[in-house]
Amino acid sequence: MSLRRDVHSAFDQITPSMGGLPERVVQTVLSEGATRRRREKMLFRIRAPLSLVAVLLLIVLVAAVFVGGRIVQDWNALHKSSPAGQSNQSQLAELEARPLQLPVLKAATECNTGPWNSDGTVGSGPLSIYGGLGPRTSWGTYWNNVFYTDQQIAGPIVVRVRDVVNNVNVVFVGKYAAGPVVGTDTLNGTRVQQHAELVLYANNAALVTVNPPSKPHAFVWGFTVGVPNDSTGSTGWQVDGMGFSEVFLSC
Amino acid sequence: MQRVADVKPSSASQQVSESTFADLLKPLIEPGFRLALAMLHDAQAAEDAVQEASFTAWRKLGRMRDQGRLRPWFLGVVANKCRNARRKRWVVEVSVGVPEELPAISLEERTLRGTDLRRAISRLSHDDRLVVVLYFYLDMPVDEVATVAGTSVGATRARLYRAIKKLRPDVAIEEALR
Repeated sequence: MSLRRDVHSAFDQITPSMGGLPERVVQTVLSEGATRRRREKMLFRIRAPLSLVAVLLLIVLVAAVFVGGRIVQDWNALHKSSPAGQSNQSQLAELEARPLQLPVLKAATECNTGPWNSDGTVGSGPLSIYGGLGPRTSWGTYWNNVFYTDQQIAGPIVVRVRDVVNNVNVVFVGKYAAGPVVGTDTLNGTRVQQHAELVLYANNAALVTVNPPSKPHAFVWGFTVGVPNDSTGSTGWQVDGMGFSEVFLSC
Repeated sequence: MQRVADVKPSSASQQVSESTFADLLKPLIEPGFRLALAMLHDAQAAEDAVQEASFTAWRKLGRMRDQGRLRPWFLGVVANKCRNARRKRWVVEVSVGVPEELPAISLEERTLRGTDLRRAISRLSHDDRLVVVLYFYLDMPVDEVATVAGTSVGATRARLYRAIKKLRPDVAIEEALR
């Protein structure tokens, strides 16, 4: 059996009777043709203006989103930032006014770094610190350190550091350094101001994901601390935040 | 290449009287329906495709300069309607693929040979299926098949050979073409 005969046979099996089909189709065209033509013409006339309207609506929508976003942003800046800024300033002043509770040691040999955390960092919480040696200058030695916490922090955090043996000021330079300028130095060819404090906020931290999943996020601040040559290297750190005060030693 | 169905619309259909239109169209309905049925495997969808093609013919018939080529032109329109109809059905069919059993109409349809062949043809691409149906089922010569498909005779012949190889890989082309 040829393919042609097979194809005929296959489709003839499913072809219903076509009695009256040509007349029915032609009659439908003749009775509905004029109506369809009018409808198609109308659709054609409407379609072009509709697409124009759609484009205009899209432009208006984009412009509204842009302008609305700016208005909301300005509104928020006008009505929220100012009280928040004032609130932060008053909280900062309160934290800076707290007296230092650092221990006083007779000799550097009495200094023991701690308290240690189980992960090898130092701090009694909520903040912990770790870091490494940074650049040296004729003034002293700098350390590139990191503060981090996996707790929600509200308001500012003020960090102050002293030599716990001879009470020499330890300074901060670069990012997060704040408070009074107590000196200057040249680091990597750049003149920098040395500040007496470090001021941290939750919203200026880097937000990173850490393990385990029970501690999904950590606020991280990388900063540089400078220890002068006349320091014994026994430093006491006081970290003050809203609702907590933390002290630890680094020797 | 412009398809034969791509005739620009015009108001010239008004120049074709209703009786002339009926006389011209009626002989084309049966081959149009057979083509649509073989393309769609659904009698109702085939009738819809022919009806839509007839509306198109009503709008554009008066513009045709060579009404001797009306048959391939009309079948080209039907083929386009079938392509559109299958596109609409694709959303439904895509989740289940090609049905293993095509709709049964009669006991004869259950004949394994016919069912297998229809299923194999339904799995061809639209263009391959079109040339197979036109050539083997509507018994059209290759040049007329090419006109309906909107391709050259050579391309149509090549498509036909390719489709035959898919349908009957173990049969010689010459034997299959008989």
